[in-house]
Amino acid sequence: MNLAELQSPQHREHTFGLIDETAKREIRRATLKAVCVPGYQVPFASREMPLARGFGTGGLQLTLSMIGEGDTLKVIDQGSDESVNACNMRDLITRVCPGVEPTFKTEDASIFQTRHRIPETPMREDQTLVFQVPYPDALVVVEANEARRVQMHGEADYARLFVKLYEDIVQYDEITLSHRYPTRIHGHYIIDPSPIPRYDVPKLHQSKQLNLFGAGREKKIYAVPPYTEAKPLEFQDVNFRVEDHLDDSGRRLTCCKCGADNTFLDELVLTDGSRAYACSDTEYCRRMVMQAKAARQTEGGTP
Amino acid sequence: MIRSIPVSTDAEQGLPPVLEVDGLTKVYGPIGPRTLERTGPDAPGGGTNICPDTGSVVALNNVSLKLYPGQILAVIGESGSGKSTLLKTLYLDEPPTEGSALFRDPGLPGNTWDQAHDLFLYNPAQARRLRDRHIGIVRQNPKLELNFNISAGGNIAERVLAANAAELQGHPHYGDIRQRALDLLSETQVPTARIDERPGNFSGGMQQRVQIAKALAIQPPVLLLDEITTGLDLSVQARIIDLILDLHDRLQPAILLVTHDISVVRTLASQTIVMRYGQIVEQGLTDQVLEDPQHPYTQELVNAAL
Repeated sequence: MNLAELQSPQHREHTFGLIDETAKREIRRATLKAVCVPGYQVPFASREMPLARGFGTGGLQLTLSMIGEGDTLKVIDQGSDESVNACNMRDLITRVCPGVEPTFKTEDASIFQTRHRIPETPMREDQTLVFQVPYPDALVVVEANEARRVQMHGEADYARLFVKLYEDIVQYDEITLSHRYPTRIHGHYIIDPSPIPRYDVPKLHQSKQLNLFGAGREKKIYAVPPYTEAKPLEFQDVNFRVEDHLDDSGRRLTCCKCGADNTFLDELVLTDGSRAYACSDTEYCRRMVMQAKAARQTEGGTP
Repeated sequence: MIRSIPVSTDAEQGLPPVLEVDGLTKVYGPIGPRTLERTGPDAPGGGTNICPDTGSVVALNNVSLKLYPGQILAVIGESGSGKSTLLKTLYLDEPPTEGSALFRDPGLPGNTWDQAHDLFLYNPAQARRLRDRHIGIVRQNPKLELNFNISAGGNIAERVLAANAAELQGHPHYGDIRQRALDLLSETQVPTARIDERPGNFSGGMQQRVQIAKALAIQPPVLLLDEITTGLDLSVQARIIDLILDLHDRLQPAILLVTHDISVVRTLASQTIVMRYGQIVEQGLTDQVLEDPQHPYTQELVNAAL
C-alpha cells in the first residue's frame, strides 16, 4: 500500500471518537468503577493518543469514550479557550466526532475537558467535567514506592501527608501548596485534584456536576461524583484557605478587563514591567464585559 | 549517680506478661528435616547457625520469653546470635518461620488482661496499628527509623498523627502536635530550639535521643531497644542510659533491650537472656547471670568484658 492509498478517503476514515469500541468500553468500565468508589484510582489500559503523554491523553481518552452525537464540548486550558492546547484539543475532538458541537460558553456545554481550572460559572447536574491529570497520586510526594502507596490508600494511612503540611507551617507559618491540594473524598481516599488552584478545590465539594479525572501517562482514572464530600486536608487550628488575591494594602485585586472582584485572577506582566490582573476564566470575563457594555448601551439609549 | 536496678513489681503482683513469646523460630532459606537439630550452640564443632544440609541460616530456634509490664529484659549475645532478628520479628518487620507472640495491652480501650492476641496472625492493617500505637522501637542506626528529609519535630509529629489517625478523623490539631513534639524533645534532652532542624544536622547521640522521643511519642506499653548505645562515645552512652532509666521510671514501659554491652545490661536490666546461634543458652536475674554464669558461653562472655 502506498502513501496515496493510505491518504485516500476510505483509509482516512476511523471510528467515531478515534479510539476503537473495545478500548472505549474498557475506559467506560474503569470510569464506572471510579464513580462507584469515589476517589479511588482505577487503573486502566491507557492507549496511545495522537499527542504526547503528559499533554492531556488521560482526559482525552475519557472525553472520547463518552462523548456522542449531540454533545456540546468546551475545552479549557488554564481557564482559557484560546490557548494552543485548548484549540488543538478541541479541533481534534470535533474532527473525530462528527455531530459534536464545540462551544466557548459554559452554560451550553455538556462535556468539558479542562486543564487545571473549574469554570467560574456554576455548573449543572447535566454537565460533566473531565480533568487532565499529570500526577494522579497525592501520596507521591511522601512515598516513592507505588505498591506501598496503594496499601496506604487502602488503609487510609495519610499521616505523612499531614506531616508535609506540618513542615510547611513550621517553615512558612502557613500551608504553601498552591495547586494539587490533597483532598479527602467521601471520608476515605485522598486524591490529587490535578493542578487546579486552591481556589477551585471547594467547588468539588457537593458539586452538581460529575468530575472525572484521567491520567494517561500514569494510567489512572478517578472521580468525584455529584453531591459527594470533598474536604481539603487541614488542621483544626490551621485551616485550608483559598487564594485571597489581596494587594499590598489589603484590598481585593480586580480584573483589569471586566472589573470582577470575585474570580480567580492571572497575573499579567505588561510591556512597561508593571503588573495587571485578569480573570483566568476568559469566557466568564468576556461575558462580564459584554453584559457591562449592553447595560451601558441601554442606559445611554434611554431618553 | 548510683541507681538501683529497677525491679519488676508487676511480675510479683502476678500480672500476666504484656508480651509472651513462645517457640519463635526464624530460618532464612530452606528448612531440611534436621536443620533445627544440627544447628545451635551445642552443634558439633563449637556450634553453628548454618545448617550443614541446606546451608540455611537459623537466626532463631525455639525462643520463648515473657516480658512483664514495666520490666526491663535484656538479650545479650555475640553478633549473629539472633538477637536483632528477635526484635525485627516482634516489630513485624519480618514474618517468623514458626512460633507465636501473645500481646496483651491493658491500655487498649475495652481490653482486659484476659485478652491476648497473637501478633503473627495480624493482618497488615492490624500490624500497622500495632506499630503505630502499641510498640515503639529504637534502632542502632537512626537512619532506619527517622526520616532525614523532614525536621526532628516532623518525625515526632508523624508518629503522633499516625497513632491518632482514627480518632481525629482527618482533623488533627497543629498546636497540640507541636507542643507534644516540644515536650518530648525536652524530655529526651534535645534542645527544643533545634526542633525544626533535620536530624542530619544532629550529632549521633542527639539523633538517638530524637529517635527515643519518636518511639515514646505514643507512650507505648512495649519498647524495643536495639543496640541503642553502640557506636556512641562513652559519655554519650552514659547519658542515653541515664535517659532510658529516667523515662522508664516515669512512663513504665516494658522494655526489651538487645545489646552486646555487659555494662549496659548491668545498669538497666533486671532480667537477662543470653543467646547464641539462635538459641537461648541461659536466662535469669541479671545479677545471677552475670555474677554466677552457668553456661560456658556466658562465662566466656562475662570474662571477656573489659
